[in-house]
Amino acid sequence: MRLGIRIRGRSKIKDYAYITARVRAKKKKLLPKETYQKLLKMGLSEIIRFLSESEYKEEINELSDKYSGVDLIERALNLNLSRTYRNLIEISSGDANLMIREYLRRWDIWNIKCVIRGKRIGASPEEIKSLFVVAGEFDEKFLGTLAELNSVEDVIEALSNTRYHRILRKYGEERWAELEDELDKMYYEELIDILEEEVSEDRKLLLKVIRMEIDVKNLRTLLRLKRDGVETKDIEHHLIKGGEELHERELRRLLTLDYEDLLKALSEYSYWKVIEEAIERRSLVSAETRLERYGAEYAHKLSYYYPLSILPVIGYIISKKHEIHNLHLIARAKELGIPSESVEEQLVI
Amino acid sequence: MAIREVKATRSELMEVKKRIKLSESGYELLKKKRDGLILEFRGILERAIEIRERMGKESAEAEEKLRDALCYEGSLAIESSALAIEDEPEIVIRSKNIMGVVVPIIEATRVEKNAHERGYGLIGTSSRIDEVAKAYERLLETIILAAEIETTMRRLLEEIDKTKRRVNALEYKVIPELKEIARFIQFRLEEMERENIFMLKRIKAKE
Repeated sequence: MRLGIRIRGRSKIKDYAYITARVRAKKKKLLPKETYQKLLKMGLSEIIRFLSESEYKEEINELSDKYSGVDLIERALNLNLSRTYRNLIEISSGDANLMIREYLRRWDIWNIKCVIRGKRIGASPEEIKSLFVVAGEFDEKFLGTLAELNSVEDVIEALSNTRYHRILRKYGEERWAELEDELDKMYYEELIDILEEEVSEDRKLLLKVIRMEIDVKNLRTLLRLKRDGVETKDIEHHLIKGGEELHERELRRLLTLDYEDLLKALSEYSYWKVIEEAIERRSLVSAETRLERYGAEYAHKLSYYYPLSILPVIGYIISKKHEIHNLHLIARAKELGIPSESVEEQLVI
Repeated sequence: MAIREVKATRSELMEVKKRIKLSESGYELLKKKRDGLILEFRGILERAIEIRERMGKESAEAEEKLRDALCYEGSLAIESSALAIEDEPEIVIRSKNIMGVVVPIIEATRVEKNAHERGYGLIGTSSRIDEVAKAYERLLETIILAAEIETTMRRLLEEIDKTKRRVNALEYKVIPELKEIARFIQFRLEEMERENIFMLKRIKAKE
């Protein structure tokens, strides 16, 4: 038994040695904070030129024949994100591979949401495909087939052999919004179950990252619904179980409070110092951005504790997602004529 | 009625005089109605200006929030969230009477909703979508109010215009013409009386 644990431990270290070394190299290629300041001052064509000389070169060159402007940037960014994540799956093995795949399953849910939302509003297959981030269980071909289908019902039928079907089959009986929330809840519940299957220090820390992410989402939902004066019974099913600080008992207590009392009660939690100033300005939007920034920093910090574990990889996945999100934000803001100052406030850096 | 067609009889004169009296009292009444409607219109006009200004401000605010949300969430997320709203507001139109003018009272229920009632997923969306939805709900409420006020204003304007035309017609056409007819009949009757007297005198002289 003792020997078994040792062997498993050694093989796990081997799993992570290679992937973490690769991730360290990839991390160095992420855009530094100062670059965003420069990008904010650029025009759309300058941003495209900048991206075509950066890590996004391949995707920009590949798509520049077909697309231009924001469309080109959005598609290139999503394609780069898909390739980066898929590359992580390809270069990892064993436990690392399992953890990465499970973590990235959130993109399957994103892709399902995109297809069904797209079908509901009559978006073209091309439009839907441009939003895909092919980083989960579903490959590009399968997602492409889903985008080409005619109706939501056809999409759900095509997903009948997947784990998501038990929720999607309720389409038509329940509101789509509720099913979207159920998909998200299912993702977190299953991820927690997998992480709890085996006890190890790195899994415990990853669990902490996930639980904190759940806290952030629950906190956001609570603040939004309580501010609108929604009844307790209508809030409960929008919350995800398994938070770090806001676990079930705490959530039940917070649910009974009105908005002002909720704010007072939140001062007991570590998140309060992050959102306090934004809440005082009555800006939920700003509070949300700060929470996201805090979550990213937290994951980044933890990745240094266990350099030979899944944590640096997850830290990189989160940082990459934020980089793409920030670039999306800057490009769209340029197109919509939103001033740089208000974009800067919303960047997660 | 052309003067030539008029029968110069005493009964016709009495009839024309009755019509003059009626027209004059109608003229007074319509003048009062026109002044009343103008007064009512001025009050509504002030409210309409205020509502228009509010509508412009709210529309600009909503557009700004939409831009922010589009920038942060992307167009598909916004469009699909908008489409998730299944519960449409109900609009009830009743009517009220202002000095004989039927104007609408437009009432809408369930325009402003909370994040739960709107029907889009909450875990996967941010409060930026709530802000846009709220801004547009507020704008819709103002638009409904503006529709009520502006329809009232348009109907009042039409009525003021109609009343003005009637007052002018009575003042410058109907009453002067009737007076002219009355004068003509009066003149004809006096003429006929003079002819009769002259005829009687001639007969008497022959005898």
